[in-house]
Amino acid sequence: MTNFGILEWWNPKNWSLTNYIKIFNNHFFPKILLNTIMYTGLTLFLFNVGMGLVVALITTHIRRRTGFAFRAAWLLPRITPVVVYVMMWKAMAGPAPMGIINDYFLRPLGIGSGEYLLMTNPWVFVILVNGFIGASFGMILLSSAIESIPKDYIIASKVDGGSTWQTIRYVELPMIKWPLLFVTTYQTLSLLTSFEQILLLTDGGPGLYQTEVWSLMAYHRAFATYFGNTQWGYGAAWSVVLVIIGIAMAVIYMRVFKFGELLQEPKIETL
Amino acid sequence: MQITIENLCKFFGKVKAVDNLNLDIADKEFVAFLGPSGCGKTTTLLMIAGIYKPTSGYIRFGDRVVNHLLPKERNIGMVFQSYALYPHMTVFDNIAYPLTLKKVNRKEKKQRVQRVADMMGIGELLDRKPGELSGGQQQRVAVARALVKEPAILLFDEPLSNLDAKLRLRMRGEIKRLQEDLSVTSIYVTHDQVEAMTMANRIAVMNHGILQTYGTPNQLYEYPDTLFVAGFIGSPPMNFLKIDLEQEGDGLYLVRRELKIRLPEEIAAQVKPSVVPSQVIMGIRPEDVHIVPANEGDFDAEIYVVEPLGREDLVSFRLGEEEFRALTPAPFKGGVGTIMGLNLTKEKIRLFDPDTGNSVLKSNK
Repeated sequence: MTNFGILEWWNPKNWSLTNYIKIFNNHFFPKILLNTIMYTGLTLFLFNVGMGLVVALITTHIRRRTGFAFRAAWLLPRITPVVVYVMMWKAMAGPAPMGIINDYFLRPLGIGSGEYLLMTNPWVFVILVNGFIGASFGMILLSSAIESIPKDYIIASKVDGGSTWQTIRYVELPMIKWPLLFVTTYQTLSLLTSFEQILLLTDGGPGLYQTEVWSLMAYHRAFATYFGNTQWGYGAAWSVVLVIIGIAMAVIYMRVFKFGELLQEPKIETL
Repeated sequence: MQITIENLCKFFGKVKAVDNLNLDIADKEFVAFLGPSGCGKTTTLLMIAGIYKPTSGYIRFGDRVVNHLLPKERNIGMVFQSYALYPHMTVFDNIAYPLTLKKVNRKEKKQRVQRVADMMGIGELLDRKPGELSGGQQQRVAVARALVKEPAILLFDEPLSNLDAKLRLRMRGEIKRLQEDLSVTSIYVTHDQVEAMTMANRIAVMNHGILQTYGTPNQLYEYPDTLFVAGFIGSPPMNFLKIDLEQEGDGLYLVRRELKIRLPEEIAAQVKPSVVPSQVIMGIRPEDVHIVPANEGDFDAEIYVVEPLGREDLVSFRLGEEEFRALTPAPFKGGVGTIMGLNLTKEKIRLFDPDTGNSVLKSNK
């Protein structure tokens, strides 16, 4: 990779691994790595997969029409333009007496002193903002997967003596293993690379690199420094490492979910 | 376990799936629900299983009303047409599933699964997955899973429909024998009248959600209550002919352009007086129609087609608009278009009201 700045990028003497070494020597590298793990992990398991699965299960086990209406409502964050959506959150998280959360939820409960929540608890909002968008993807995919399980299996499990929870645990969850793998893998990769919500919400702050994640760092290095100091090569190096991490994660998931078993040939001998 | 069904109704929205069903099933009895698809037989089965809640009416197991009981509180084993084996579990785990849900300890679970698997002849396949089994083996696993918890009632939902003809014949016998050996009250849903006839102690024929008739296979075959039952049970189906019923002297006669038949005393005595004279539908089974040379039978007809069945030949005749079939020992000599005489076994003639479809014979059992 090159020392890909504005000047002299064509000169081979600027081509080196310096930028990669620079990443790992960066004073904030551990912080950013930790941020990325925290952001991806928490958003993924609490919302994109966790909440998505819970909402999918709930809405497929209640009356069909109610479930459908509920799922439609859950799509609102996704279909709202991202800038509007994030600005709404910023307003909601504002200090008393403007912020809705402060005014309507925390104050009546006697919690906090009306501080600017986005500044005091930035991580909560980073995860909520991303999670509420992300959960709808898993919800749609998993609820259609649950609904496509043949009814006989569910009836069989109930007649065999299963409660709703036992039927979910022993029959429905194993049967949606493949869509679950897909949602987990896809959402991991998508969370690793998405930074626009964080950019709009906190821009990596407040304070130095407090909510700065890997992809945001790459963006900041490559595009958000002042002209003449644009570190395209350095930013690109961050991105390349992120791609490698993404591929590694995907491979790990396939191992964990025993992808090979899913594709095994049947072994039928006699009719 | 004795099952009683009282005034049972089930609506799906405005669609009436089961209409005022009354039925009693004795302890240890094997009953078949027979009817075309959409007749309400599976809906009834699922209400007995506790999957559907009845819109009105009662289901009793013994003296106990079970309408409100959850499926798991009913101690029922069920076998499905699709087998419904959980594809991610081994055969052992599939059969053990009802025991796993009850948290039976491992040792007892292993014993019980092995015992029922050996009984079904699948003791060697316990570590396979359902995807590695043939249809017949899967069906055995499904039966084993239904039996392992020693249910009070066994429900079968078209269990043999996905098997090939040869295997179906074999499983038919096995299930019948199993039911007799275990003496479990069983309900068997099917659209195949041969299955119902061969396996069940009693058959409930349903159509459009309404119970048409309920009786032993022999009663249904010999004395069908309605046209629907008469046409549905038996293969090839019963012949039907529109015909006038008239009184002449002290005898009752069936009259139509080409024929005039005097009803034998035993049948004539059963005819409800209110229907004489009127147009009725005469029913007679193909095996009770005998082919004789022209002018020697009750009437003559022209051969339309001859279908060899192996042991017998099925010969179809045309009588005006209607078709008339006769079963005759193979090989039948006579070509299409030939005029032959037909002789009826008159004691086997059944008569139906053309409007209501009900039998017009008084005591027919």
